Order: sequence, then structure tokens, then C-alpha cells
Amino acid sequence: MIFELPNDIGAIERAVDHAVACCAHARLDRRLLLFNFRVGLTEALSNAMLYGNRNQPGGRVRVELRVRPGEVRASVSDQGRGFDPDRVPDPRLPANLLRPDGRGVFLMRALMDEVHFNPEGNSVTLVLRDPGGGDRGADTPAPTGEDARAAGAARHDIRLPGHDDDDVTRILAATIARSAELARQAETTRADLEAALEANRRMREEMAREHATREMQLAHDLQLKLLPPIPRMKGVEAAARVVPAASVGGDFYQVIQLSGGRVGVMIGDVSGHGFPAALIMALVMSAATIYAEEGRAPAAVLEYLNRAIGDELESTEMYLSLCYCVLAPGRSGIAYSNTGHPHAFVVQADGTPRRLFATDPPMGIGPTPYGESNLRWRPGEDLLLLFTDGLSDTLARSRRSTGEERVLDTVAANRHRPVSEILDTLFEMSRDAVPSIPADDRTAVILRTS
Amino acid sequence: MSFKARIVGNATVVDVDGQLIVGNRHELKRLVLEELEGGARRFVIDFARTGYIDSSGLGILISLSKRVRELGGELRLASLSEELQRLFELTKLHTLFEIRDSLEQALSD
Repeated sequence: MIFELPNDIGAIERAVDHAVACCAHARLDRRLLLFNFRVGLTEALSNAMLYGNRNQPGGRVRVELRVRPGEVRASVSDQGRGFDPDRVPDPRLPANLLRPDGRGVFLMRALMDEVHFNPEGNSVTLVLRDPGGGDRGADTPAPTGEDARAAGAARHDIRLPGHDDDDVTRILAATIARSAELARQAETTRADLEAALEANRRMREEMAREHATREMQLAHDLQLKLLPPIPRMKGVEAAARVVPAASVGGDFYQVIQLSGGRVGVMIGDVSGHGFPAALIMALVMSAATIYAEEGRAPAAVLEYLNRAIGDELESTEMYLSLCYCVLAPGRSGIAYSNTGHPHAFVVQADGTPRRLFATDPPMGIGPTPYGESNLRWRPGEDLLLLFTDGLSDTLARSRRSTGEERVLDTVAANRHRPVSEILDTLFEMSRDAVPSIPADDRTAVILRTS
Repeated sequence: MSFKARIVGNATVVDVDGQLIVGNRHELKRLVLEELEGGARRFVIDFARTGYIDSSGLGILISLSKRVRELGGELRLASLSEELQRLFELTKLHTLFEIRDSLEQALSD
């Protein structure tokens, strides 16, 4: 059985109950079904909605259930880019124990017999078996080869001793059969009702579409209005650009003049889209300017930012990848903090890139205080290059290299030209590569000091 | 599913009726924060009528417990079913929370 869900965490509980009802004929231990399966499926669905589809209202989540005696398989797929489940830190470690997040994958693995992620990491299959499933009779299929892969991932059974689960399962199955019968009797009246509901739904969709278009225009305007012009600074040559997508992402950049001739450079990407993302972006930009202009170090600026918008991020379920660098003309160091921003580099005189690795997970997910790193910087030679995945993704079509590599190659090939020309080249290339309107904002900042 | 707060002695008891999961965790948060703002400091979350809790639900309990402690209060958990108790043990969160078998016990000392 397959069903699709809108990207709405409020729909999860009902979807899970629906799935449990569909599993009645698996004749699984009722407690396993009502606890392990419900929690596991809830985790898979909320992961798909919040992280996979980045909490975008338009997203869809697909659930596929395969039920046979003694075994239930549920696959949950989202439309996101996927993640690497093996990089999720162990939530039981003392350092992670106080974190409010990061337990989803762990719970799935602890409560199910098997958990398989597809290679892309945007689909997960949960398998739950009855511990006594093997002796249920000839209709029980032999265990598959996947059992071997699940070795070491022992499920933790949660059950009461001496409980007759079969009786309860039979009652549950009978109840469901009875409600199916009642539903059939009600079919005729329901047809009329459904016609009326359908008309109503179409009307509401039309209204929602109109509303969404207006909202998008507002967000679009807001985003462009907020992006500040780049200040002219002695010894600093900088260029930056955002090309917003039709659906308005939450990309932004800032180049801020600091005391003592220093310069602060920031790039960020709010996880959501539309008006809520634009509002978060507005909050971040105004707060960032204030804290950065006080001349604080990168980690401190992010710390204050998180204090200012952390609650907002949590209540809107959004998160923020942000890289903030501070450097100064004539000085040979660059200090930065990076909450999960993937594309931040120093391109050296010989064209080799050095990555500004993330010091922390995205803001809104990770714990504070934030880390800070220092990297060598050669004034007059090195280029600072920050961009968002909207830019590299539009270039990802090449068979030979990833989008990120193509951005880096292009910048390396043009590294001796003025930064504004490098930027032009990048965006021309990405415009040519985009067959239609891109789905995400494209943003890049390039800077050189003397 | 619903969350309700009631006063028992000098404690605020919050009943979790149904599930505590990603879709409703902010309602619990709002409720406890409101009570906290109103001056309540001793909290007991009673799970006697709770089906299951997911990782988001656990997360909100951690956040709330931290917040309550910061303000000099205490947040206890009571009446966990065997499954829920196991969930806290699996995640090692039983070391973080004051857990009592029953509401009476949570209120008594």
C-alpha cells in the first residue's frame, strides 16, 4: 500500500495510526506495533518533513507499506537531497545528552529490526518482525539477505512478559474489519459528501494559490531590499550577488566595514522558503550588522545572533547555515565561524582551494557556544569565495565534475581578474546551465585584500 | 491528544493525554512556559495517559527541564509506562531526569 502525505507535521499522528491499522493482518505483537512501529515511523516521517523536505509546505512525503504475516516494512521517501545517517553523532554520549535534537535515527535503529537508507539518504525503510514470526506457518517467507546487513543492530523489544498478544491482535483485526464494513455501507452517502468536499477543496486551493503568489512577491521584494550595497573600503575589493529564485529562498550575504580597517564577510542560507524564510533572513541581517559592527569575534557574533533568533528558528522549525569571516588588509590571518555552510573557500595564488570547514552544525539545530577557526591568508594573493548551493546545483549537470568543482575551477581560472569580473563569469555560466527557472536562490561573495 | 496543567499542593502537574510528538510538542512547551512565567517552579509531567513519545518530544522535555532549572525550579517525570521507561533508558535520558513511578511519589518528596 502506498500513500502520500503533505509536508505537515500535524498530519503525522493520523498517518501513523492509519499505517498501524493497515498492519493489523501482519499479526505482529501488538506492543511492537503500537510502540516500536509508531515511534519508528513517526521519526522517519518527521525526518522526511523537517530535514528532507526542509519543512517546505509544498513538499510531499511518500509512504509505502508492505505487510505480510510476521513482518511489516515501511519505506518513507522525501524530495530532499538526503543525508548521511552514519554521520549523526551518538546521542547517548555525555556531550550530546543535553541536546534537544539528534535522536531520530538512533531511535529508529533501536526500535526496529532493520533500518535501511538508500544511497542518496532521502528514503528510509523500516522493518519490524515478530520475534516468533518464523514459526507462524508455511506462509511466512524466509528471511531475506538483508538480515545479514542488520547484524549488530539488535532491536530492543519492549514488551510485557506473559501477555497474550495474539488475542489482542485478533480483536484489533476484527475491529478493523468491522469498521471497513461500516465504511462500505456508508459509501453511497459518502459519494455525495465527497463531491461537495471536492468542490470546496478546489475553491480553497485557488484561494491559497492567489495568496501564495502575493506572499512570494512580498518576500521577493523584501529580500532584494534588504541586501545592502557593498561598502567601499581601503585595501578591500569585494563583489557579491544574489539571484533570487522564483519561489524565494532565504539566501543572503553581508560585507561589513569594521573598526581598525577590518572587514566582516557573511553568507547564509535559511532552510525554508517564502515569507517566513525572508522574515528570518531580515532578522538575521539586522542583528548581524549590530553585533558585527561592535567588532566582536566570529564565534561571539554568531552566539549573539543565536540568542536573538534562536527561539524564532525553533518555533518555525527552520535552521540557518551561516559562515562569518573577519579579515584585514595587510594581515595574514582569517578568522571564521561556520554553522554548517557547505561552500566556503580560500582560493590560493596557485588556484588551489582550501575549505573553511564547518565549525558547528546549522544554527537552530546545533548547540552553542560556537567554534572558531583560523586560516592563513595571503593579502594580495588569496581570494575568499563564499557561495550557496543554489549556484553550484545549477552547474551540477556535468558528468566530469560536481557543481562545486566547476565553481572552484572557474574561479581558479579567473583568479587574477577583478573580483566583479569573476562573479560575472560565474553567474553567466550558471545562467547558461539553467534550463528553466532555478528552484533555489543563487548567491556568491568574492573578496580580495591588499 | 491534549495537555492540561493543574495545581496539586505546591506543584504544577501537567497531564499528557495521548502522544507527545513532533506535531504537538510546541503546545506542551507553551503550556509549561506560561506556567513558568506565572511563577510556577515545581513541575511534574504525568505520563499515565501517554501512548508514545518521539525524539522531538524527548527534545522538548530536555529544553523545558533546562529552562525550569535555570529559574531554580525542578521538573519531574511520573508514571512512565514500561515502554516509555525503556525509551528513556535507551537514550540514557533516565540519567538526566528525575523519574518517579507514580504521581504520588513525584509529589511526595
